[in-house]
Amino acid sequence: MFWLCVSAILAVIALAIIGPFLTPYKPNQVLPVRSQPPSWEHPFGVDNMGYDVFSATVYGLRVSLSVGLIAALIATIVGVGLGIIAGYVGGVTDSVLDGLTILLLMLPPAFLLVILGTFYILGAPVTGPFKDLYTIVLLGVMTGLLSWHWTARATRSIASALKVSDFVAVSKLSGNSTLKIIFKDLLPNMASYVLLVFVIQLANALGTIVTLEFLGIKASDWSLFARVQQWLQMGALVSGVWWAWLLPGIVIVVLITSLYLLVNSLEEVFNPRARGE
Amino acid sequence: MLIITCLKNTTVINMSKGKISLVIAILLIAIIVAVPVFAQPPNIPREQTLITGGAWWEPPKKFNPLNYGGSVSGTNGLIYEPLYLWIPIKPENERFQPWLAAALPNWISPTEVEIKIRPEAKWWDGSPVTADDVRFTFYDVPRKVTSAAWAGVRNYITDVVVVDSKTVRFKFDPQNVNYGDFLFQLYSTPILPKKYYEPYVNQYGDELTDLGKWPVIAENKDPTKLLGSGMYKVLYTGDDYFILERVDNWWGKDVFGKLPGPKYIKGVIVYSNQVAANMLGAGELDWSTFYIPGGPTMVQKGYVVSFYSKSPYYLSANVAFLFLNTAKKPFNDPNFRKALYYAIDINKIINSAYEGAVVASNPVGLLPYWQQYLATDLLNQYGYKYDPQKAKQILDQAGYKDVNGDGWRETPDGKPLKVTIIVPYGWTDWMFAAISIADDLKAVGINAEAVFPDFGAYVEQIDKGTYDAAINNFGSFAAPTPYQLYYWAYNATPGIWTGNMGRYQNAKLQQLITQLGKIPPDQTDKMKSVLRDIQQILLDEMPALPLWLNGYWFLASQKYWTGWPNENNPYAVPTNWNGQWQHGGLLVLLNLKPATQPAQQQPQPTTQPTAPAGPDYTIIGIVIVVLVIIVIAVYMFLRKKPKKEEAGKQ
Amino acid sequence: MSVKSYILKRGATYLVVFVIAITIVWLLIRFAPGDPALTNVMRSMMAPGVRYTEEQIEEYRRRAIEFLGWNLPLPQQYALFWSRLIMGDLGYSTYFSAPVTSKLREILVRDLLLLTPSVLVSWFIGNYIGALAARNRKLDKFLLPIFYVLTATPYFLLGLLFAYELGVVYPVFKATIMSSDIDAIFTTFSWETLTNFLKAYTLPFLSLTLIAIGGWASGMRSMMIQELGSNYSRYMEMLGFSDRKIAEYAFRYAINPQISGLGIQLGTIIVAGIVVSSVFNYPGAGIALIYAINFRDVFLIQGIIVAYTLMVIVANFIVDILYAMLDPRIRLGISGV
Repeated sequence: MFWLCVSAILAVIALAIIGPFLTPYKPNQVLPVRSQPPSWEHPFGVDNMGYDVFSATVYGLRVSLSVGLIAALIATIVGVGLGIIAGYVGGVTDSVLDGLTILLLMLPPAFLLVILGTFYILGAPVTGPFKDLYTIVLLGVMTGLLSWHWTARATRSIASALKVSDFVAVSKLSGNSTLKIIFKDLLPNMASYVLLVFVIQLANALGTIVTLEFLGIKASDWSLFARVQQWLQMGALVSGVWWAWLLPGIVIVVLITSLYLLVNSLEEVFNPRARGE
Repeated sequence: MLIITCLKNTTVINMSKGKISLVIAILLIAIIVAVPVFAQPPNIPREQTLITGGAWWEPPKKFNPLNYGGSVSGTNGLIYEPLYLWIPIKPENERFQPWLAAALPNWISPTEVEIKIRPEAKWWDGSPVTADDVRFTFYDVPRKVTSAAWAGVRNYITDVVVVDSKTVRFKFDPQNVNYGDFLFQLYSTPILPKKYYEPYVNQYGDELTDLGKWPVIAENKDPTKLLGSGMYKVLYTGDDYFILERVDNWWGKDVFGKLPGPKYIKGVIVYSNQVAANMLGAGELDWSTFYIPGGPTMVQKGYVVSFYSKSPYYLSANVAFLFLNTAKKPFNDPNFRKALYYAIDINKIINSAYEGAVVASNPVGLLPYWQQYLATDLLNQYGYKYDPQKAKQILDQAGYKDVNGDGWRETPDGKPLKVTIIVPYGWTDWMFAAISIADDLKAVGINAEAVFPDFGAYVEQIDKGTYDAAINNFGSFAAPTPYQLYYWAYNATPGIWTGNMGRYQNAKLQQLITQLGKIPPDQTDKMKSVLRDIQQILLDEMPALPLWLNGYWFLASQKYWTGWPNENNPYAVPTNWNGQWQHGGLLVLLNLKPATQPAQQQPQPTTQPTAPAGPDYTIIGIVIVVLVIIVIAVYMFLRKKPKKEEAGKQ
Repeated sequence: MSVKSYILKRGATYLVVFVIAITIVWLLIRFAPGDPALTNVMRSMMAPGVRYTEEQIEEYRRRAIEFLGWNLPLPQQYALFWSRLIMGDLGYSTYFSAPVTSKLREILVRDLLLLTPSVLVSWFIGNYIGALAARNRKLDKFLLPIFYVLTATPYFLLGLLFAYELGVVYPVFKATIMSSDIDAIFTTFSWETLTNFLKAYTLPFLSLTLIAIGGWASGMRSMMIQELGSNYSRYMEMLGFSDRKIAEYAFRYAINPQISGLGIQLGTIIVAGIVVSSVFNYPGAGIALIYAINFRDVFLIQGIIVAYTLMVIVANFIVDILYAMLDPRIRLGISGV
């Protein structure tokens, strides 16, 4: 099971990286044919605008995956970081973290992302070759900053539990600074957990981003589902061009599912009880 | 959801608490839901209802004829009516069709015209539409409500004389007379009942155009209380739909011998074109004026009918311009602009973005209804067409060369050159057009990019003049003369809602256009001559690039209604857009008949999509599923009950 | 620390959070790029072919700014905002041409009508199936991937699939739902209106529910497996309890995080609601927000966020109170785990 997941994930990532080299068509190259079902020449078919769906998918994967990765990284780093500090150091930091968490819980992040996205991503004041980079990073950061509170809360309890453990006490006795303790003692013990968190965050981030793209908030013109949304508006549903939205959809579902299953298998590895023994 | 695994570390709390909170949550919700604030929609039979969409984009709550531009489409046309209809697809001398007026206008002199009102024309309460009403509409309202939609006429209509109860004479100021505008108002100004609106106008004046305060000028802002003259009145308004009901004692019954076919009209507001397409395909929408890409495919498959059975499928409605901000360099250089025109492949846009559903424009932006004014000899002389080689040549000659070797051309004084084209996000056809144009420009060495700000930002950039290039067609609709279009494109004070987005200043051109408006309608030779001069300047300067002609999007399902106009029966333009019912939408309603089984009104062959599965099975299935769900839920809830006591003991 | 002081402390925290959250939103909207005065009024006035003069535009613009209150100094605007809010006046929506507060009630009701049954049904069914999968390893191998696939599927994708297959290709259900379908059933309740309602309601409901089921089921399954492997379970096993009995006990413990999860789910379901609304045209807060942003309908945007934030806060606060009253640890002031 584990290896199945990993291979699925790697396959999709490979698609994203290598894919663009596999296809002779550019994602916004208008072809003379239109609305073609999948065939040898066009493995994912051609949509009713004349764009090759496969190339749009692989280019789109690149963008969406990058945004997702950035979001997951930010969420994990911020979440784990703040969580450890709050749990280990405690005191004021803890209360502040508590307040922040509640704040984020209460404000529907969905609404915020829609508003922020429309104003700052769609209407991005930056143009030029770095525009895509700017919006990708911005969107990733925004999403990440609105998703770290779970991680922080959980990390905090782990950290405060570890705080009273023996080896930390020993470390303190030997005169290690707080920072050193965090890096040498706490983090390695939480490493497996952090990994899990990262994968979960990635899966969630991808889901959120893909949904945002569907709603129109896309980091780049060829974000994966931005294309799909455009295809839909171009009537892909009614004219029966199902491959235009279903195939990229399947790709993303496979990716996210594999991520979740990966978490599951990792949990089984790290936590024997989860195996049901 | 797998966040839950993170929560594994949280404390385990007694289960009864959890249940109680669940119950309370449900109660809270139930309380909110149990106070329904639902209104009472009327129950109307489907076979007597015409479901239409494509002209309404917000909750249909505004029915204010003084500001009909911001009101529900149909306020001007269905509820209130103009003196004439203007059907652009008819031959020139048949375009004006008397509606509330009895006959064509009688020009006594170039500054005086007499119009008779139909003897049968009456308001819904039975009182006749009189000359007093016309005078009130054209004379009193523009002066007392200075921001009304047609208030500009006060600048040139000096008096509206009531000759008798059914005859008026308009008198014009010889200095300021504006025939272009007057002809437009003849079919665009809604005639208002004086006895109903005069008290409001006298008391509130200009405030009446504020849709925030006056969505409807009536008691309690209730649109069902309006007094109109038209075929339909408001029956009910919801958040995403509204229902109009036919006025069975409408005056037209006596004149045309019949009433409009549908007894009810249901207008729907829909989130996106895709949803509209679904509804159309499923027979939930009869008359669609949405832009539905994939429409041509639906026509070919026989789900719907359009005006033309083949490309271009739709009639031409307006000119889509690529406006260049001439206040910015290098757009102030006519050579640069001309080069851009040669560089753009309009056919590519038409075939890919529109699937062949639109037509290319001529280089001067004249709609096909103004064929007679087209200076074909001049056009041939200038020979504009898609020619990237020529574009490169012009750019080279004009000094736009790539001096620093980055692959892009710079301006003659060496500054970097970048053209950003904006269209509103979500207007997919324009989005693809913009991308195509940007690609074309890149192909001749100009660094170009298509950007899609949301509608608010797009509007602002154009209004403030911060943009480079933008596609726009807001004011380029058909009218009796090209005066409106040219005024909007080149004369108006620059602004997103006024026109002249390119901020083009050319005194000669503006003077010619103003002169165009002053030519009496019968002097066609004079008009041709002035238009020729105008075209000369346009071809020479190319201030804005007219690219293609957007269509009167029209798709209709014949499942419930037939009698739609088409190329074999071009009796009207089938549009329901705001301010455009007068181009034919009204006639369409008059000609619709309920679809009967074997008889086909259309010469076109049509097939009905397969009927849906029998609804009875569906309902039984759903009910069973719901019951099963409820049973399971209850069972589980009950099963836990015995444990509750034990939990309590812990 | 007694229950009372705990509640007060919590309440104060929530109040502070509420104020901060709303302020952030308020600032966001105030300083958003774009000119709401221009768009707000103008968007509702766009009718191609109708010409406006410059004076008319200026007049409309002036009215818009006055209406929004943006001609006042910033601190005064802020104070005005709060004073109105406390009165319950959320302003006037130019999009709906109605006061925001009353409109929000309607929207909220419609949203709850879709989301609540979906959440509840998916929670019950999901947990049950999840527990089932945990106990039965054979079934698990088959079900687990299904759960994950369901969870991984973005809401709109499933919505699209349903809309297409069951709404267009085989038109068993309606691919679009209109407010008339919902209103009809509450005014004239007949077989016909019920049928119509269900035909339109089913697809969005299914899209939401199925995916949520996947989520709950997979979560429950892991919890159950963990509980089943815990010490007390083994002990019970040794004592000879039946599998079913063991499962019942394990279930009790496994369900708890799911309950707190339910409270949170009520908050996250809003995202799903927006997406499903846009696929099926469901007249909920999701679509309203998107329209509001497009129209730069400032009061409506504010209103929606304030209302939903308030809902979430109040719900959480109530749950906190209940826990406070029932959990002896809080009552007795014992802190830490």
